[in-house]
Amino acid sequence: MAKSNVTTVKNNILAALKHDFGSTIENATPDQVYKAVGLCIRDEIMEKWTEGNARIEREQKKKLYYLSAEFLMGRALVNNMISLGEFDIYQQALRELGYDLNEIEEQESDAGLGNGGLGRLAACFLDSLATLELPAIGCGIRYEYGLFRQRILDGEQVEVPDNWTEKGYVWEVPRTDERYEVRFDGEIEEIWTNEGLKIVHKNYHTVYAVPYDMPIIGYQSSLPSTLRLWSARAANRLDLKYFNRGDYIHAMAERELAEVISKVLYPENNHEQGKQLRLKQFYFLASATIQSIVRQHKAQYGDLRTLPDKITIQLNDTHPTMAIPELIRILLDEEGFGWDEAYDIATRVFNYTNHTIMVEALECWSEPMFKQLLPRIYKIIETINERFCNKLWEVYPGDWDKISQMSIIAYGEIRMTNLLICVCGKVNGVSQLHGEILKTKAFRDFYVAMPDKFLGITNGVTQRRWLAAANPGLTKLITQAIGPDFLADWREFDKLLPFADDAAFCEEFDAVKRENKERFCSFIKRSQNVELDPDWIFDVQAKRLHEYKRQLLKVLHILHLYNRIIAGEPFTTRPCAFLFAAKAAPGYAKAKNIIRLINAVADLVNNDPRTKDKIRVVFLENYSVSSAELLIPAANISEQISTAGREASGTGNMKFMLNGAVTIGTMDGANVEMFERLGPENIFIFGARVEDINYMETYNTYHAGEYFEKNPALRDAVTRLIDGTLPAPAGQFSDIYQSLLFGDFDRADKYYLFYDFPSYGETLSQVFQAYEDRAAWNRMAVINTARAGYFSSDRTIEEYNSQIWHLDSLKKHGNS
Amino acid sequence: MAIHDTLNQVLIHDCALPGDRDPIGAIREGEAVTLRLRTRDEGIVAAEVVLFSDYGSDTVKMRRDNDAFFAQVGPFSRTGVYFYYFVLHHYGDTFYYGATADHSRSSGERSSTVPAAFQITVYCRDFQTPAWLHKSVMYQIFPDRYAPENSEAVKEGVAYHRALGRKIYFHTDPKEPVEYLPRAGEPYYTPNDFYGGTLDAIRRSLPRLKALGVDVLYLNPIFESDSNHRYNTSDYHRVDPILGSNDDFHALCADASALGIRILLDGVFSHTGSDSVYFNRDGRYPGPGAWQGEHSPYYAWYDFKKFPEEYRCWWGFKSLPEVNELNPSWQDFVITGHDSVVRTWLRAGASGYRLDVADELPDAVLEKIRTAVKEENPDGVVLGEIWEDPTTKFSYGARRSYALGKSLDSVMNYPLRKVMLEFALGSSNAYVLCTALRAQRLNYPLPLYYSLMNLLSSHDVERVRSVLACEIYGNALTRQQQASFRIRPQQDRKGAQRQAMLAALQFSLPGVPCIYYGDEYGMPGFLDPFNRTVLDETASRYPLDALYARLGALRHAHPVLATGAVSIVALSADVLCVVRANTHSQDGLGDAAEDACVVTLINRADTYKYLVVDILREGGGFDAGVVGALRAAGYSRAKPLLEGTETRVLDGLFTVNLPPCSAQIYQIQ
Repeated sequence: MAKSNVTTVKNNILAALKHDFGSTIENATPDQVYKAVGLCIRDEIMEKWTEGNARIEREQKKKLYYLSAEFLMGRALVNNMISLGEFDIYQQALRELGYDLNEIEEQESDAGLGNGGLGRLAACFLDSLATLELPAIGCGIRYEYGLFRQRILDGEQVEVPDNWTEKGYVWEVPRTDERYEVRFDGEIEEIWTNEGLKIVHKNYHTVYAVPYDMPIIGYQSSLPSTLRLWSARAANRLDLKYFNRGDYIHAMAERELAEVISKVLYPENNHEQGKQLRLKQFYFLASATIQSIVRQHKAQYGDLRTLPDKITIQLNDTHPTMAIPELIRILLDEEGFGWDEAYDIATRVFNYTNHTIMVEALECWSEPMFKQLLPRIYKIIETINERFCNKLWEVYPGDWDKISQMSIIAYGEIRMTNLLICVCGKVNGVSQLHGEILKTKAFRDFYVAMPDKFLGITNGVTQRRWLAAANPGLTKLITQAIGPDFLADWREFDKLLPFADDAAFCEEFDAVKRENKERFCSFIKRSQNVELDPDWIFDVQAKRLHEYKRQLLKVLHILHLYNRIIAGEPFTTRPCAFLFAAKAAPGYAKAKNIIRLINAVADLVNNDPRTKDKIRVVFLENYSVSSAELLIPAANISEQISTAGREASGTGNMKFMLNGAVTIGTMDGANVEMFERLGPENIFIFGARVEDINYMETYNTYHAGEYFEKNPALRDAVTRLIDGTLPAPAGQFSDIYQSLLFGDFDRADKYYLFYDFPSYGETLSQVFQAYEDRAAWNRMAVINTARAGYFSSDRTIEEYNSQIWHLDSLKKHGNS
Repeated sequence: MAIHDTLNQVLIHDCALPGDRDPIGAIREGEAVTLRLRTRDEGIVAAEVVLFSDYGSDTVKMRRDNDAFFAQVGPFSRTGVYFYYFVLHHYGDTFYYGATADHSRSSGERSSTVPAAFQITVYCRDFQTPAWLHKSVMYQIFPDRYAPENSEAVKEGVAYHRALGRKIYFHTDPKEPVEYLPRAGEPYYTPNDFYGGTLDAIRRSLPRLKALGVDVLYLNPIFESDSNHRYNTSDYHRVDPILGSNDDFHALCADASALGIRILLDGVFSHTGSDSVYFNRDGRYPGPGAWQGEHSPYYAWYDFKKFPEEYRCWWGFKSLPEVNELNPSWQDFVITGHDSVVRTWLRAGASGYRLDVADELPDAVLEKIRTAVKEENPDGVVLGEIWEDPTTKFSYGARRSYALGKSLDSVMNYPLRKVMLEFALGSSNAYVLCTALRAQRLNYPLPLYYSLMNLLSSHDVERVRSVLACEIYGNALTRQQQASFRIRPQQDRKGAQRQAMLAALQFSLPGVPCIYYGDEYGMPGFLDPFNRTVLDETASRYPLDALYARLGALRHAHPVLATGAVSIVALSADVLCVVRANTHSQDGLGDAAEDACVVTLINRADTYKYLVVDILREGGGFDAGVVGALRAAGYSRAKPLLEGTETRVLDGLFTVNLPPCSAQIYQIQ
């Protein structure tokens, strides 16, 4: 690869400014400079991307299609520079042109096409796939509006639309010549002809899907992955009949109706609203993707029978499930396959990753709605189900219990999870614990009937973004110690382990942490005008706001500390800042009120003279990939305190670990595996285990009220919610109080906060004590980073590949 | 209609599922049963249980509670078998829900006509069976063929019979084939060729039997008789001289007892030999027999239609005159008298009787036998030769009550043999096997169920090895073919694999596993007399004596295999799973026991089967509460007791990879 040098890069930037924006470096806006830099990098990528794709085709390589309704990519500019190995060159070139890279970087909109972990995982996967040079295409929806931007006004979350495409997006390539017709509504007619049964779909509405492709460059890779995002286009974007009459609303009506499909990303936990539109979005993604796969395969190989040899499709959660009936539909209705053959192909092409075992998140569609919107797809699912249930009847004769539970369609609902497990070759959970819970709890009946299908593959995060891009200081330090290979080879991290016993290294490690804290302090000062002292302990809980993640437990403990301090009890540790970052789904009232509560507690403790020099609470607005890149490297303590058994894996936990934060957590999700790799001396585990929770749920032995009665500290903390201490309107938090003590419509304290409260408090004070032994703490932090290699998404992808996909890495055969 | 559309109309009642029926299984008199019928069908406006028995019928209205109808039936004040099905009123329409016509599963089906019924067995309040029996391994010996000798004593015994004028053939060489054809000049084959097995030789082999894990010997008849099977008794008070003496029997019992082995005798009371002290047709005994006329004390025992030639005899065999069991003098002699036959041999050291053709003894007589046995020895056993389901058996115009606690402790479990062989040979599948095994759990009184004589071979049926190796039953072959039949080594190997698989199941079920002598060496033989040949340790290249010894040892080391609660589940058409468990410090009979769990899996397929075992599966036969206790026990490891590898148990689940045609047994810890 011909390396660029600073001079050529400078010249390229200047040329781009001239050609694309008609400006010079002197009068260019920062946005124009950003775009010019972006275009220069894009040119470099394009060459590799085109060559890589041609090579896949030439060598007839098997390809992965990774279907996901969400891709939480974050900014691309710096990441791409690092991946090209040209970060220093660009930084220098920009400096010489009079620009700071950080400032230029911030011009890029953070493409927030995802809610949280699931979407971010998809993004990490694409980076790893490219790095490992595995042929892969990610397929999603090009939402015009990503996840809302969060503002905090008067302590409350306010959602602001995030129009990330407004200013143009340099990384994508629209393929407007390649479009696919997606059909909704209408009726199905079955007509017998000389060639057999013909299915005719009548009176449907058409929406076109247009792909926007984006190269995902990968670390020093010759085979960038592709992210293909589908955008909806109306068949008639402008109805001239109405337009000429001056009826502009009607002239645009069809366009509005069709293009709303890719308008906005739906927040999670918001199931009641827009169900039909969600269904449309998911079918739109599924249909467009499958049509493009079929077209491409036929063009290259001519025969769809070889489809399972040449492609594999990973369905990221239930959202893209309709890809299954869509493929069967095309094979049956358009390609003349018989049912058995079409179905067999589907079973060999599709695999499914489950991300949650929360019952309310197992996607079900109303049967009448589905039938009306997607009549043919409904028919196909009905046939799949009929055959599936007949098979079940053979295994469980007369066992209607089992059959009704496992049926894909039942009691007026279509259950996507059951469809996926029925058809897919493999079904995986996202950590070892989650894999086990899928087998033993969530899908027990399926597992017993089809044990070969189930496995657990622990999630991972890409060290390029979460270390190299997010934490250049630490990256440099590690590179000095063990060389740069850890960025491409996760196994290399282990080499860092001996440095935990190198006092000088540990001090440098701590110095980097301190720099990162300073960096964050200046960021939060700039963005929210909050003063933070980098000498304080930074104790961070950053993740979506959900009750099971238990931000509330953390808040109750802060109230407990507040009570202790104002009661005059000695607070022996050094001052500590409790940092929260979380978005709540707009329709999730309880979660939004917890944000309100966090901010009220912040008001309370940050302003009370007795506490403000000891503890402080900060809520970081608009948690996003780019703010995570600043926050996580600054953390000393990582809070991973979900109710055991609820968090499937978590990936935030891994990012903190990678950046040398020490975890306090429950035995949940991937925390369990972090514990196994770190040993009890390098992680702080507390609280109920999955078995304890299971026991309490099975035998209904948990009574929150008893814990409240017996534990005065807990009682005093909880009482703060309603006793008027908090600066908020009266009754603001009584619903939280109510649900902890009495339950909403179900059990009190569903997430076992009271149960875990004492052990959390004890364990956190141990963490604070441990922090005081600076050398020991730094050693622990180094060990956390050194042990994080396993949690690289490169390792995750290797496991998917060896257990599910069986793709050839181009790397194996050497780069040309 | 698509399956998913029918879900709203589905009816469910699973008689094996606690909740649908509480309690599941047979009950004692005085107990009641709650029945539940589940449906989401709002259109069903009323439901009833129709309950019927030999005593009459009854209709019980059910009450609706959300998605189910409930009713209590009973308490039942009379022992007996009761049956029930459901009647449903759907607006103007009436239909039924009952057992499937072929009883092919424990749940039922909807029907428009009166359906087959589910069974409730009600047994005696105080029914108990000997605890030692539940934990025993049995070994059946056909005495003439077990350990033949050519000793002086044997020769004297032969001489005794010949002196009486009996035509007896003595095989001086035990390797000679059994006779099965009429001898020259005779019209019929008579089973009077002897090999010279003796009680003393049995006594001498007790250490071997002990090592094999045997706890109780069942001896085919040992009393004086002119046939090699000795079912035509000549003298109830005398051990056949070829076998030895009465003293030899005392010595056998004494030595056995010292080793902890008990002896069961064959009680052949429905008939005697015609050549006997009692009938004396051939005049070989000094006193007058019935044949000699009314002055004989035994005359009243028999039913002469036309004296002396026409008398009631067993299946028309003149050599087997049937007795009149209601005759007081017979009852006194055989059962009730102070020194009755039954009592005498118990005092001599026997621990009970297997009653020959128990069906042909009236219930009242069987009850008297039980009384006599238990008076003599409360731990004595009464085991009946019954070939069918003993709870529902009709014979001689009446429902038999012998399984309900009044007479029999146990029966020979021929139905078990049948379903096990059919499963192994592929003429059925694991679902059918499972349903049949589960039906015994559900329909038999528990004290009887845990005492069943679980056999794969006997003197009356083909040896298991031949059936499993050759995939053929004896009745498909002529006697000539059976005589000359040779199992090819390849067949024998397959037969041995299957036999091992079934033996593991046999030793994992409630009841007493019985080894028919020589089965441990893989002896072949179809029907009588080829299933009664001389014990031959070298009969097969694929002996299973080591396996039987291991299974016996396992059963002793893990009492849960004998008396634990049982759940039986088919995991596929080829794989059956039996879970045994003690929970709440109790075994399946409610007696004190240490908590434990053992799982047996058998795979009959020719391929490996990778599958998941769920020890928490409901509806396999566990009472309410057992599954909950197993869940709470938090078991985490499955340790192989035969073959296999140790695996993790997660929430009651573990995976196994079962080799072709094999069995695995796991201890769950």
